Amino acid sequence: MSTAEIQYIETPRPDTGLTNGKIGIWLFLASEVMLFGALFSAYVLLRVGAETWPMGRDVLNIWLALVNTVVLITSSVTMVLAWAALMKNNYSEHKKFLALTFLCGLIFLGIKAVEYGQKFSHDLFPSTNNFLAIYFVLTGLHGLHVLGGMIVMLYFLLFGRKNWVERPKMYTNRIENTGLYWHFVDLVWIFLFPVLYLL
Amino acid sequence: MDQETLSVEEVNRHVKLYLGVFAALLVLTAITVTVAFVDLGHGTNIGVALLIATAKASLVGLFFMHLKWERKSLHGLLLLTFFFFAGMIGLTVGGYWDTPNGTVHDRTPVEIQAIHHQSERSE
Repeated sequence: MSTAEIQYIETPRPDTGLTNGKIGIWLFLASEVMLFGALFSAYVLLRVGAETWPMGRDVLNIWLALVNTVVLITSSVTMVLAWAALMKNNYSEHKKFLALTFLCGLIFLGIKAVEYGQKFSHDLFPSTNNFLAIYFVLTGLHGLHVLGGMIVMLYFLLFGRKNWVERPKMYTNRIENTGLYWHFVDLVWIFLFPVLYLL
Repeated sequence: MDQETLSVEEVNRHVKLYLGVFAALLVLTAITVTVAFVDLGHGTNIGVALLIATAKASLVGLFFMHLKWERKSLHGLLLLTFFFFAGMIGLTVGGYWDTPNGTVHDRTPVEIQAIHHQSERSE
């Protein structure tokens, strides 16, 4: 082990009781809470300050969004099952669930692209009104987060095996941390769906 | 329970729990959509939708993100995050009402525009 090795990525640090990777991802998620929180307060301010505000379901396609909600919830389950498979030392099962999670992300973004396409074809753009502006900002930023998670998953699907064979504990922790991020992305959508589409 | 050292039996028990949470999330999603189409009054509709969303988020956090089994140090970190999050929302949204009397919110944007035009003309 070289001296430049990052400490406590396999075993928990004695004082925090957590691996450094887990502390790191949770601190990152804390900053993400503030990022999305700021945009949610922007939404509230725009809405209470507006003379008229459309019902989301009159402008947006609620059924496509409902399918996307189910897709994202499903992907959270497959993600946690991918981690559980590693805990049971079953790499092939892990890879299957990780690939399914990636696929769910792809379906989510595909449906989102259809939704955006429908809006653009009806001349509905972020510049059209404040509702669409905040809709595109919130869902666009969320979509980028989905894409980011998928890039990490693709990396593990393509190059993860070597890491698993050499340092299984480290790989398992990396997948758990990837999962924490992915569940957070799901969690943000859980709020975006009713706020933008239903209310 | 330490997440790093679970036995196979414990992991299998977790998996059953995850599938139960999955079913609960689907049911809650169905309830969210159904309730949104029932007119309970605008405020109540918003309250119910946010309440269900919070319940769903708690399920995801507690079970999928393992918070139920995590260390106190992590709970402390999240408590701090929640404090800052609530502060930010409270201050920005609260700021909306924190304006001198008779300036902004008891006039409509059209009235405010008219006042602007008037002051421009008088200058």
